[in-house]
Amino acid sequence: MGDISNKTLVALLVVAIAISLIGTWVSVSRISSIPVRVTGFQASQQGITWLEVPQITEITLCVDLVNFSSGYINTSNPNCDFCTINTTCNQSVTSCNLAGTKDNFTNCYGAGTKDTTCCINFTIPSSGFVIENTGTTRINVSMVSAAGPDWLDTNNYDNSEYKFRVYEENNACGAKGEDDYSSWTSMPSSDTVICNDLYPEGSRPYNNSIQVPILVKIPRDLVGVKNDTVTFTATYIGVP
Amino acid sequence: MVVKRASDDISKKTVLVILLIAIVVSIVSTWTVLDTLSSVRIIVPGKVSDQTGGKVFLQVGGAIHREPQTAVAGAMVYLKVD
Repeated sequence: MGDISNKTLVALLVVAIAISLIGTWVSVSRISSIPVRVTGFQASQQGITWLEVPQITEITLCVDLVNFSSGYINTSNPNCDFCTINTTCNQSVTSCNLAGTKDNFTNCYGAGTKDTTCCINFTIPSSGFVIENTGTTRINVSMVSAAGPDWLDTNNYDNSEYKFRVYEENNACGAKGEDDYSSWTSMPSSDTVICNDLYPEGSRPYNNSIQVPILVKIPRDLVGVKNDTVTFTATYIGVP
Repeated sequence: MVVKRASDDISKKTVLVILLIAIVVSIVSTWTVLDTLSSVRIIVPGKVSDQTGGKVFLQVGGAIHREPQTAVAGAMVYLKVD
């Protein structure tokens, strides 16, 4: 076989160039026609997700009514100047925050009492007020009575009584509580802290409630319906 | 004897120039195809992107303190003397 001439080489090169150009055109056009989605390149490969759980200061009254119902004083008995009744201190109250659980007040005195000689009818309430910390913060609980300690006084008797105690669910209060109010104390007419540093449910389970039993000493000449509004206030003091 | 004249054929210089053109065209074509390929992303369903680096920051309680906070609940004591 003889040598290939330069003309033949040139012809082959031209063919090669043509094939290359046509091949490139075909490749680019086919790549462009592929059904693809172009993703945006992210500026950074690191992101931050910020989640903030808000702090909630909240109390719930599991028992918000102390109802002595109706009755009268045995005025035919000259010794009955007063009728004295106090609520039961319920040692196991159904939690209003954590379903299926109980708030246990192991130091509670138990059943309430009624002077059956002087108190005709009336009802011994089955529990004092029960206050739960249902928020997410530590709180102080304070209390105020709209009527105040002289709520039941009359013109003839100014030594009626309207009192309270405090019992803690498993030493729930950091201070106050049973330390200061385990005996009957006159209802406050100004806002008074009755439990310091009460924790929320999640941080100290079964340890977030207080119970406030009530005592009334009703004078014999009192007549009519008596209502008193007791306001409990939770004040934020910190996070658990 | 027939003597082939050099003028009948293409010169070696011309062949060399065309060869260089062919090489350049080939290189440019290859570069064009590769560049086109690199500019697209194909998302295949079910496959996880290889760019999985990330950071999750969680703060419970938050830095925003809303103090003093208070909550109030009312209760009632009731009795009726007949």
